Amino acid sequence: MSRRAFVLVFQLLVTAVVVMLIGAILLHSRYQVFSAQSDLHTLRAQYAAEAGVSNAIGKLSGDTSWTAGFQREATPDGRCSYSLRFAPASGTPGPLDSVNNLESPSAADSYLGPGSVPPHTALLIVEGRANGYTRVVEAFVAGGGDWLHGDALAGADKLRLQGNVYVDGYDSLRGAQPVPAGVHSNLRSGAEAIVWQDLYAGDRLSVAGKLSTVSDDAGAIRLLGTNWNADEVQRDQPYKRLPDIDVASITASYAGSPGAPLPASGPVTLNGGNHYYSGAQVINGDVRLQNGARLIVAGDLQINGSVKGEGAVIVDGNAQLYGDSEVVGDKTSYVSVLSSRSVSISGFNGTAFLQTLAEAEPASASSPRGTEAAELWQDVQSSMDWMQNYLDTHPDPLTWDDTAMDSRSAVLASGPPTWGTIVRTTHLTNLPNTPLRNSLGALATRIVGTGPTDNFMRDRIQRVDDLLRAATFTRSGQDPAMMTPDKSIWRDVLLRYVSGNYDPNTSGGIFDLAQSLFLNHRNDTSVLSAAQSLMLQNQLLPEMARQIDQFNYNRLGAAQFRGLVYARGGVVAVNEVTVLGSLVAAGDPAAGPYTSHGVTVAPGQVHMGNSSRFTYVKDMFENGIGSLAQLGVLGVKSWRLREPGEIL
Amino acid sequence: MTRRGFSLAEVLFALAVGAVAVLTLIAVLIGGLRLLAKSQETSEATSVGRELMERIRARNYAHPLGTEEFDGRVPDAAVDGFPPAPYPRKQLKFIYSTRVRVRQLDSVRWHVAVDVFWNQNSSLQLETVLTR
Repeated sequence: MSRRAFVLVFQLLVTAVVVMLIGAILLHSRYQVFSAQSDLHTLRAQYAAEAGVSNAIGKLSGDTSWTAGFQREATPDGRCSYSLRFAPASGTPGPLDSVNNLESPSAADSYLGPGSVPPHTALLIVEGRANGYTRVVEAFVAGGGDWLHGDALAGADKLRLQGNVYVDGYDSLRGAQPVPAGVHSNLRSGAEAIVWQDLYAGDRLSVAGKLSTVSDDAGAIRLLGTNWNADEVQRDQPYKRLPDIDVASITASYAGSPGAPLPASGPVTLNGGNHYYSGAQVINGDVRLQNGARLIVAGDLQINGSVKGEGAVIVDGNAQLYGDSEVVGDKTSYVSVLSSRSVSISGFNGTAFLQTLAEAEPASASSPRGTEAAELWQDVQSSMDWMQNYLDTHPDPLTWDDTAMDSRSAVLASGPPTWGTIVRTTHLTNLPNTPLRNSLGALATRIVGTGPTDNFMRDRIQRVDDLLRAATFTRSGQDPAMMTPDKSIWRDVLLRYVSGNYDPNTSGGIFDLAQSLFLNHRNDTSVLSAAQSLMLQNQLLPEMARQIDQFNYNRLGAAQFRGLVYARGGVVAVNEVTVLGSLVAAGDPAAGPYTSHGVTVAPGQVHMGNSSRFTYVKDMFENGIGSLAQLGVLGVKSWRLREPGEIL
Repeated sequence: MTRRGFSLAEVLFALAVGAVAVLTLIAVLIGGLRLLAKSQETSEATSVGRELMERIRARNYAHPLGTEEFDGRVPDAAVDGFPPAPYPRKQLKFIYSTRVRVRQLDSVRWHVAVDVFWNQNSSLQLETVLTR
């Protein structure tokens, strides 16, 4: 090859390599530009689809039967568009067919399968479009605001907790599975979104879940005490949409069910059904709710007495409960208290009551180191503490020590002289054998009054006795029938308890009976079937353990609510409060500030002035807020973004 | 063996062709690099806009505000922590400034638009509609 030819070939090769390199860079650049533009437009399409979901919610809020859909509807700034179409009345819905099932009480079909759209729910499938790119969003929409997010206590603003505070959660009232339960404040900025302060030495904050707030302020969560534990303590957390229950509309919907005139004073008994009262109401006496009765007031409600029973209190105004309260929400709605404004709970200070009772007794020869009542009270506290700690640290009934538990139960409830070796922390030795050898029973005899408060305390102590007394003891004393060796009689009592027909007047102590049966006869098929043993181990005994936990001496006289306690404004409680369900202060600015017992709360704020316990119960709220789910503002319950090219 | 070089005309012609080729290639190369830079800017700006939009959604800021506009280029003062940090600027390849517009459409819907500005004349917009 000549030199000229070589140079020519060499130059051509170099040129080709350079051209290819530059071409590669150019192609890569173009790919990068395409990729960046694709990402941008895909994101725009996604936001357009989400805008379509929001706009569909707007349409459905005005007309729950809306099925017109959208066809290339432009977003407000006109740069993108979205489409939504509903499934035809007949035929199988396709992958892009939305389903409006808001007005139906039964499940509907969708492309996800038969019955895949729950009652009173809509499945919205929206295709967003931007510069030729598309994304599809699927969203389930229903009323009743959002579901609770696993929070036993949630507020839109500041939450202030004092004294002993326990927060935990369970999957259901009859289940055995603990679930995380948190405390959450939606305060957006600033300090003291959540504050806990111990009042006395030994006060404890225990959260079996997360303490969280939206505020990222360094002082957003202040725990002013050393004795606390929580799974997580986190600020700068996402905003949680709280249930948005339209209490005013719910109240108005009951206007056609007026209640009987309320007496000027004295007890009020409401038996089943809805009882609507227009205007502010003051009830000077105890209120008894029976068979799921609902007390509905279109105005402020003030109850200068106790509120007890199964039912709900629904108030389009402020609700002030000045007596001890014990409201069990009915099993369909799990609502205890709804207020369009704020809730004030005075509760009843059972600890102070018993403490005062103990201190009021003069010293005696039998109690040279203090009053006998004070020592009984000390016995009660230490034994209940022991029981609670023992059950907490031994969650599996298989590990329970029958003898040790009997010894402590014998301090707290009645039984034969031979039942348990009483473990006292005091020097008391001269208590009569039966039935008052137990310290709590002996303490109860010091309550001599007959007023509602005295009766309330007697009732609470009686409940402890019903749960913890010996299996062979009824309220009347030793029961010969329960002494026979044939334990099938015990099993029958247990089955009556399970079926809701247990009569504490004529039956033995149910906890002792259940745990004795389980520990001593679980493998004896003539007494317990394998299924009954499993039910005892996994459901009944853990549930009873939780009941004992609820009976903690420090909450003997507390206000108790089972179900949702909901205020659109704030909540003030000055004494012990137990909520088995969830407490929510939604923070509606229209509710305005509220002052009670010298404490002012803004909407969304919660002030728990004394010890409190919040136990989140998951299955109460799994389908929205029970039967109230179809009421209130429509919202997205769950959603997902379809992947591009997803095969359906 | 005869050793024959290139004539002057050949050399000049080759240089001219080579120069045109090199200049063309350089122009193409610069264009490609510019595209690459532009795509990086777009990606960064998209990321800034998406991050801000998601923070607004996560904190449900649209709900209490009604109709508001915040221009990070000025910058306006934030109210009640809105818009959430980082705001109004983010330094990546360029300084990306953001503008947020919230407009109440009705009692349950809010239009939220996030504009991202960078490099004087470049911008992009993201928009959606949120419910409370």
